[in-house]
Amino acid sequence: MALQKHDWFVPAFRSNATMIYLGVPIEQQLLYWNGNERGSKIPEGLNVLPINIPIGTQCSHAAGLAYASKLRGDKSVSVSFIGNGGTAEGEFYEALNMSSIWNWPTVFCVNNNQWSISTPEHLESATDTIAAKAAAVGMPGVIVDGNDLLASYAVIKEAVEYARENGPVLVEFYTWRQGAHTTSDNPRIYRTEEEEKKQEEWEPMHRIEKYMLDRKFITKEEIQQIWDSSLEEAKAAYEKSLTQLDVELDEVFDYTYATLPEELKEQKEQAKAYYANKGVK
Amino acid sequence: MSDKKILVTNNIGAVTNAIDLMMEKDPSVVLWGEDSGFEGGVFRATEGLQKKYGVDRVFDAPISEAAILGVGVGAAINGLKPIVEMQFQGFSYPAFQQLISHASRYRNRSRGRFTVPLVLRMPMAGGVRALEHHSEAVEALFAHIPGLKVVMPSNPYDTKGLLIAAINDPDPVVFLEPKSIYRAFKQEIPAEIYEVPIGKANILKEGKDLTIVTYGKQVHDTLAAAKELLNEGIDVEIIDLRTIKPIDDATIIESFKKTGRLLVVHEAVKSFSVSAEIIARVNEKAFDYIKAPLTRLTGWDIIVPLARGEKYHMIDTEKIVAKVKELMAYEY
Repeated sequence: MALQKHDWFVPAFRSNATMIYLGVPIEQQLLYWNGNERGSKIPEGLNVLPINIPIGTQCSHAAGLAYASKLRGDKSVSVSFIGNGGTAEGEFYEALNMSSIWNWPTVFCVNNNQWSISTPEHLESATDTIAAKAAAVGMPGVIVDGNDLLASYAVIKEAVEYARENGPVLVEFYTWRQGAHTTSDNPRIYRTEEEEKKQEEWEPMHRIEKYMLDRKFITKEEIQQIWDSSLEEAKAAYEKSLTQLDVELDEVFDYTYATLPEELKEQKEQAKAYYANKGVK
Repeated sequence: MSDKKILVTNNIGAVTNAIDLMMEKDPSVVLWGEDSGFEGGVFRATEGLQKKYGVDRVFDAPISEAAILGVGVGAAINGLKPIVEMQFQGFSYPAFQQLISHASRYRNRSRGRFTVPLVLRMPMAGGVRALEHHSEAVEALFAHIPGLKVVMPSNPYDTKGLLIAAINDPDPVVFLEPKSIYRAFKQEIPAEIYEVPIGKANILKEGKDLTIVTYGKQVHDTLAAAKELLNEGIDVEIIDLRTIKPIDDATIIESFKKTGRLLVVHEAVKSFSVSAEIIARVNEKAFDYIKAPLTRLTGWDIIVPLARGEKYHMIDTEKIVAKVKELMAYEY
């Protein structure tokens, strides 16, 4: 909401909701998570990068995007996201430092959900806040209650406009990871059910619903309708993604280079001959 | 008589000239690296370019190899053609994550939506009696990575032509500059923009007895060895590989089918090296033509010694002559 169409968004692997908001189709994201690279073929016209997996490494991409924008004078801002654990990576510091030296219009966002898989916040960083790390590179650092939707919006909007005119900013959204890290993770090993229950009260959707209900901006029925229609939309996208799962053999070769070198063409022909015998296209 | 303008320059001058011409022609060409801006780099490869094109396009990067490359990835995605410099190959390792995990993969990851037309330049290899980490030749590490191209020129003509080709290439190119021959000799080269195609080896000398495949500094050792060998009646064919990846199979195989004998020469360490790859390919594609063991002459599998001990590691003409004679004497 705080971004303009020409701004860049560089996601973390927990940025799915933002990507949906920015226009990456849900079925495409499901395709990615279901093991098909086509899910990361971001539609033309959207300045959104695909999900990067190596932790903290996308910060410098955001810096580079911002440098190019600044050089062209197109007034675009780059906004990147990483988790709190990502700030322990050396690359996080390098990207912020370089961006700050040259005043590239970048907003480095950190989604501090207090966990890095099983490792708690205090074993990833000894600073009081992540935002404090901004001082090390000479840029403003802001911390906001990431479970407060309205406060988060106000902060990111100001940060984006600040970056557009002045240079990079670090924004820490302080929140809590509601679920497990992944489906293979078991939070019972490292945190209690009690802790989780306590945090649920502060869950941002509950809070925004309560806020809007208290002020009669919305009714319970309308909220239910939104949940229902959203679920329908998600189900439809899921069904659609299931029809696009197949990867053709050509695809796994063809995007290695703009033009396949002879050696790779040969390998592709060998693979095709091999799989043709197995009745695969 | 051609009225084409000629430039007389060495390898480093060819680097500067190629970048200069491309920056002049294309405003999307930009460059940065440690000391690359104001000073023009520790080897002066980019001397004068900041003054000519401004600090927005040519600038000093902090000592942050990972960010130097990572910023290049982002800038390339956003329409620029970055040329980034690692001060020495031995300091490029912090950038490997960006090179291997991102630069080489963006095209594939995004199914062609985002691409990284970037050139990563670096001085490399030994022979200048340097400190630790300043003499390695690790081209095989780069060549192992799908999505990357790797070139290593041996003379000013190829340096300029390959660098221009690398800048124009739509994919990331690792451009390796053997620093011991940066200023070793000069050559007349065209003053204007021209390309030497990436992926094409060059037959420097034709011969009938044995094929030597080599690249970089060892090209010159091999040329000298070939002269000596000719005096003894041994006529070798010399292939300057120029591009390590994608490798020019066709030229190597055609030559080998003529000679039936192969020697690959490089200073990089032996195991899991470029020579291993070339020998494997000749074995796969020209097995019936083999007259002698497919052989290599390489650096030992050791840490490159410091200045006093480097001589034990380096390839020289004497080593090449001896190895060729050994192969010529081979009988089934």
